[in-house]
Amino acid sequence: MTHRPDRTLDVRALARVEGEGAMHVRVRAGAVEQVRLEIYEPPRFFEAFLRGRRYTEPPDITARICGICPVAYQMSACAAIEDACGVQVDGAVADLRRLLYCGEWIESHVLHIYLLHAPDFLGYPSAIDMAKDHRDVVERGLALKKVGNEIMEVVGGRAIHPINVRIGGFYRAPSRQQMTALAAKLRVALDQALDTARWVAGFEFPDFHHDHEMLALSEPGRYAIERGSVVTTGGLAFPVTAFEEHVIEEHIEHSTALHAHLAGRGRYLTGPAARYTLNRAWLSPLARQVADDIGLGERCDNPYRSILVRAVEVVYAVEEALRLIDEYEPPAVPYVDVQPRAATGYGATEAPRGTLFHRYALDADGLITSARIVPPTSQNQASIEEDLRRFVADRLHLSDHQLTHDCEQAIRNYDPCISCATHFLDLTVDRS
Amino acid sequence: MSAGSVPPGAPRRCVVIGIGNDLRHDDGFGPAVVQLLREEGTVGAEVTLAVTDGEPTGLIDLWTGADVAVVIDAVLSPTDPPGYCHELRCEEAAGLTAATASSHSVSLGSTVQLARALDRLPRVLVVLAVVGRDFGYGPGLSALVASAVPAAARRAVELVTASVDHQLRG
Repeated sequence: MTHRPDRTLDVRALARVEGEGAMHVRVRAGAVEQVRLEIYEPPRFFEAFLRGRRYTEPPDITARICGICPVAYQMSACAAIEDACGVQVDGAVADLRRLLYCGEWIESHVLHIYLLHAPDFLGYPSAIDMAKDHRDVVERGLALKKVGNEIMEVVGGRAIHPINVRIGGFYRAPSRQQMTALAAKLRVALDQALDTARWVAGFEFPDFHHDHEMLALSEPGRYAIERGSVVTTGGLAFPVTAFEEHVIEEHIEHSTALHAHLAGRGRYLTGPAARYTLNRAWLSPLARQVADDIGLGERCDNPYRSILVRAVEVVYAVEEALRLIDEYEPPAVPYVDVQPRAATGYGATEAPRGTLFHRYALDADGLITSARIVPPTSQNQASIEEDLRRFVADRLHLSDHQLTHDCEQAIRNYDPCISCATHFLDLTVDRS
Repeated sequence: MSAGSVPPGAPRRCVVIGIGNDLRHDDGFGPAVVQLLREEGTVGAEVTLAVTDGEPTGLIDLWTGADVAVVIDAVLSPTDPPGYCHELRCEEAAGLTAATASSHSVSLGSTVQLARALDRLPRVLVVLAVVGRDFGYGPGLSALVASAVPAAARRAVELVTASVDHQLRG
């Protein structure tokens, strides 16, 4: 049965990924003919209904694209609108933005490490089943995730879809007292983050490597999160304003997410592994030491080992949050006044899953005349499909059940966010 | 359905938890019941009144160590009328699932299963699941759902009252 030359594998609803999508694999004459990640979550038309809205609205509207990474949408939106209006936000307000983003990285990465990805390595169908045998480990994950949530609540007003973000900064700055309480919890969280890195380092990782060009924001002097310019492992470097000259999106029939490629170069990958590979030098000494201790090396091109990178980034985010809180002085005014003008603005930040680009055109009254949002998962979709094609080709001897199971695990390596990309999982393997 | 975290002889601790968003019309049912209980002041200091968005770690923290936890949430039903109240025990609540495999939202059922695996269930868990009609944007409950708030509040008080405790143990 496992050596049938023709077969089809179908996963109609991929589990433990963010959002809803499917996978279809068709095998003909013993060779992989087609691999498709089918994003069937309906198109959401955010770019269309942003048109005609005021320049102040994108942070709240686009946050609704994702319940896991709303801060990424808010920060990219703010960056783009402020760019259009000729405003630069720095100082304590910019630091508060980075702190809020650290909260989201912790919350999102810990969710993926403990509840979505680790069960694959330990042989459990779900985190709930894993918790029955590894109660203390899951408790540690929940406690660590909660600290991320609490940063979001203190700085953003609430853990999901923060309400304290506005163009130019924040409606209200947290008090020094709130920050001190948060710091006490973060000091405990740092030990939990270090334990997390040691724990995932003990997993067994299949030997699988890709050769995709990797893309991330980079900011000399520190690990890029809420700002930076674009760099790739192929030596490409350009400012965010030139993103659309280099990143080409196209519609693919089987997906409601657009596929992206680099002009004249082809598919690429963004996300934690890309950030680590391109920006390892800017990690804190502790995070870099942890990366060395758990055997990450200079680059990460094995998607299974992305869980190690997420663990290192959690260490970094907790440490960075502590640093930001330690230096925090509440700003007299928690925002910069932003007046509209007829212009186009560009913004990009590092969402937990990779580079998130926004572009808005405004008229003189501050109404949005066009909007464009390029989320990480749609940028990664072509590379994920190519990896799956190679992955399946090496495993055609497996039963449909085992192959389907392994493909789902492979997809979770990328922590795809289908809801964000909809503009994505269900696996079909067709061998007939 | 025991909670190992409650030491024998410890003072009785109860919690009433309203899940929902009061800016999504009938989804605000749980918070509205908690608000009514606060206004009436009919429950004692041993009863914690709480409102949450349903995020699983927060929800588990709220009921960990409780003798009785009453969770009030609004639900969709294709058959029951708006305002109809389902009263679910722990096992039934564990079976509540979302209609998606996505991890974007963790269902109340999965949260109960996770809490059980972590031995962090309350000794008694009751879910009052009231059928909503309008989950669109904006404040205020629809008329039939609003009219169910006092009865749900009364039932929550009964559930956290020691006199009905023996019924729940059964």
